[in-house]
Amino acid sequence: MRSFAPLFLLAAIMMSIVGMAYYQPVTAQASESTTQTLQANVSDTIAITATWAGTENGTINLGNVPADNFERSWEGGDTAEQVHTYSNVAIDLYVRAAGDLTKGADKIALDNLKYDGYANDTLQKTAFDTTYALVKAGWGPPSQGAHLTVPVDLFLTVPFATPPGVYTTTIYHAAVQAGGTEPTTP
Amino acid sequence: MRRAIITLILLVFFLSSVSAVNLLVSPTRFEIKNTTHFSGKVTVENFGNETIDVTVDKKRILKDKTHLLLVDGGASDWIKIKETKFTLRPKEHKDVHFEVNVPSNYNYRDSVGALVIRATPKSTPQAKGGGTQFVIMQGAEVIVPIVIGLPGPIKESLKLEKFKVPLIIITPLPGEFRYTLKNTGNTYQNFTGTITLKGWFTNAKINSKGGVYPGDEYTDVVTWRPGLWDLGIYHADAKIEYGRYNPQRPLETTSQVIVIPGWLIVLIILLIVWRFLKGKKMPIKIKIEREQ
Repeated sequence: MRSFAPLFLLAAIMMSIVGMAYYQPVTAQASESTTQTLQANVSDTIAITATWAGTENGTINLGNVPADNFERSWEGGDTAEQVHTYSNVAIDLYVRAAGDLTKGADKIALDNLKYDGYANDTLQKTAFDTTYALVKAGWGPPSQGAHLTVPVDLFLTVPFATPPGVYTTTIYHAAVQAGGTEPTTP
Repeated sequence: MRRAIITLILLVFFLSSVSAVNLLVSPTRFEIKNTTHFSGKVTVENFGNETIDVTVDKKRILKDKTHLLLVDGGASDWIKIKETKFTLRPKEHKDVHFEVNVPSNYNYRDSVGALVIRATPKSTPQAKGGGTQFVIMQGAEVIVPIVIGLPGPIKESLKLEKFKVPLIIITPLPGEFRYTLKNTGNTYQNFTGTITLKGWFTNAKINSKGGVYPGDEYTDVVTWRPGLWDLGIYHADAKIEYGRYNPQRPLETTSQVIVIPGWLIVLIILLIVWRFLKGKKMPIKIKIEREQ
């Protein structure tokens, strides 16, 4: 047993050396903080909507109108026609109609359907046309989270002897960014 | 109680049937310079509660003070759209990709095309009952201009096509002055128009401005409302200044307009009536009664 003592001692020393080589002392070192920059580029946006309260799918249902050649009006507002902008740029608003009010082969000329309002004092009662007409220039933008609304007054005259039935057309409100068609720099 | 419940149900029904065509588009314009090929995309979104049908068309823009025309040809021929028809459910969005390819032999010219994004309700409206009824569908459109500018020799030129003034203005009614400009150059031009009215006793000046693309015409309408004491023959001198790169020689023309105050016409009519009544002698009737 005494003859193995040096061997045991040597093994112990070797194991100590090996253990020290694998030993990783834990040092208390604070990690560096990391920072990241987050950015989002909000692009120019146009968002518009036209509403007719109480009518499904945005359709304007003027209901039954007699053929008496008398001009009837529907004043714009919460219970009638309105246009809203939720855009983050100022817009020019135009309006047009697809064509005459039609029922099969029968039609009522488009100049019997007129508009006014749009909170535009310079606008006069005007017949719809198939080409775009400017109704509000440089409108908005609203403040963040809000929207702007204008009422649209509608007028319709049904000429005498117009055949009965359901007459339809489509009106479009179109928006383009104010000044958007001009080049910015030479 | 039952009535109250029915009323409430009806109220809820009508309130919930408020609906709309909601259209959102971003970005709102593109400007292309110094390149003959461009690829881009717009995001189209339905931010409403109804499903909508969307069509995307390409057009060229003609624009003046009060009108916007979307026509075929010109810059619209250079635009190719990938997604032209689709349906968007509520809160759904779609990217529309497009390309602009300008012909290689095309000389310098400012021009503007457009993407016309149109949304209409998915379902067809139904009218109920008989008689003559009117159902007007609504659509929303967003026009995205694509402004194209290419390098090359610059030619700045505007031509005054016509200048129309009213013959007579009877106050307090206003008079409309119209002039039409044609861009015969190859660059977009901003202009400032000034109409100076020189009369016997008073002068007036009206300013306006606009812009016109090459090959296009622009009609400007200017309104003048004479004052209470404006009277006589006025010389209307129109001067159009332009020059986006270098100031150009202004376009000038002149015409005449007669201003007649409305109160003067009323006064003259009253004078004529007064003279007429004064000059008309009333016959004297003598009645002889015999006493019986």
